[in-house]
Parts: sequence; C-alpha cells; structure tokens
Amino acid sequence: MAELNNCLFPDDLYYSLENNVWAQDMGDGSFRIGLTDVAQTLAGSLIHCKLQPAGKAVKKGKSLATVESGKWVGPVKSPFTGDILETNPAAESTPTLLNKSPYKQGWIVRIKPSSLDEDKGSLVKGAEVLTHYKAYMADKQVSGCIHCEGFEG
Amino acid sequence: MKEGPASVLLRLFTHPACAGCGPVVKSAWELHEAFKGRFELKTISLETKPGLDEAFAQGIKTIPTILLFVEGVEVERIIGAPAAGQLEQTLQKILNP
Repeated sequence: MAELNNCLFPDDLYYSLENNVWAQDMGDGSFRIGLTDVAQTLAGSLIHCKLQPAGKAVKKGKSLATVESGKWVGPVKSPFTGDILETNPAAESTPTLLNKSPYKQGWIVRIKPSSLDEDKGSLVKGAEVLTHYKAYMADKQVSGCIHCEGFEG
Repeated sequence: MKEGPASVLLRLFTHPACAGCGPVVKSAWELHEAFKGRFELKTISLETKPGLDEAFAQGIKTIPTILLFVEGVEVERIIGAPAAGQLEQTLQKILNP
C-alpha cells in the first residue's frame, strides 16, 4: 500500500488521475471502479450516491454515478468506455461506505471495457501513482487525508 | 494534595460524520463539567478548512484524536475513542499529580 500524506493507494489498482477513481482488474475482463482516498477526502462525508443501472453503456469520462456530500455534488466519471455489468447496492444505500472503505466495500460499479488497451494507456499504476498524486494534491491544495476511526482503506 | 498545573488544555479533533466522535465529545464535556473547568476544552471540527489545517499541523491522521497540553506542552495523545475511564484517569493524573 503506497501512502502520501496519509492518503492511501493500494498497489494492485490502476488509477485515473483525471477522474480521481481507481480500477481493479477482476481477472475476467471486467474492472471494479471506485473513488480514491483523495477523492473521498475532497468530497467530504457523502450523503447520496445514485448509480447508473447495470446494463448501461458508458463512454470514457462520462458518469457512472452521481455522489453528493454536504459541500459537493458531482459525477463519478468512468475511466473506460464499456458496459456496466454490476452495481454495488451498498454504495447507494450507505454512501458513507465510500468514505469509510473507498477501496473495498465502497466500490461503485463493475464495468467491462470495450477498448481496454486504448483506455488503459491513460491509467497509472505502481510507483508512478505517488508522483502523479503529489502534483495533483498540490494543485488541489489537499494537504493529506484524515480518516475516521474504523477506516478500512 | 499538590496543586495541579496552572494551564491544561484538551484539544479534541472531531467531525460530524465520524460515528465514533460524538460519544467522545459528549464524554469530554461531561468531564469538563465534573472537573469544574480545571482544564480548557477545545473541540476542533475537521468539517472546516481551519480545522483541517490545524489537524494537519498537529499531525493528526485519525479522528477522534485527543491532545492534552500542560502549560503549552503536549503531554498525552489519545488516538481513536478512548477506552471507558481512560480519559478521566489521564485527566486525574495530570490535574492531581
């Protein structure tokens, strides 16, 4: 697990910096998508999460879900063009899961990319992640992440 | 009994969305009353930018976190919700040395 000012970045995930989401290769051609620790920190405590339905086709950069906190409302943008195979009902019923467990219980959708090789080129993984996020956090003036007790990563 | 220190400050870092923070805030205020204001209590909400900045400046990584200062010097740091009686015992130790 990589860490930058207490913001966590699991090593096995791909990161879309422009959309501030992660993508986990499920090994069957599909990817789970969720908000990064930085994204949930920037958003603050989430009160609503409205998911696009399973079966819907989405384009890269378009909305997979709309999330709302006390200070922000906005889309969770897809890092891939493809089809939504599955959604996480717990993310919709308990939006704070996206804060408490952004990389595990708080996943948002599972998507099957249709142009994987092309879209994967814009994602980062491994050592590159920290370099990119260091610049991103400086730009967004995010000093770091502070977690509630019980945070699961 | 020896006299306690002149200045004791309890700073409690919290957030309204932090489920474990509310009971700690309540307990801290109850102790403040029980000790008849012998220590100053300041709650810092991370909901606000100044609160967040202060938390980062103090190296806070998890909330709730309690910092206890005696005459301006940090003497105790309790990360996470303290066990039952832990905060009271800590305050007793500081206020009634």
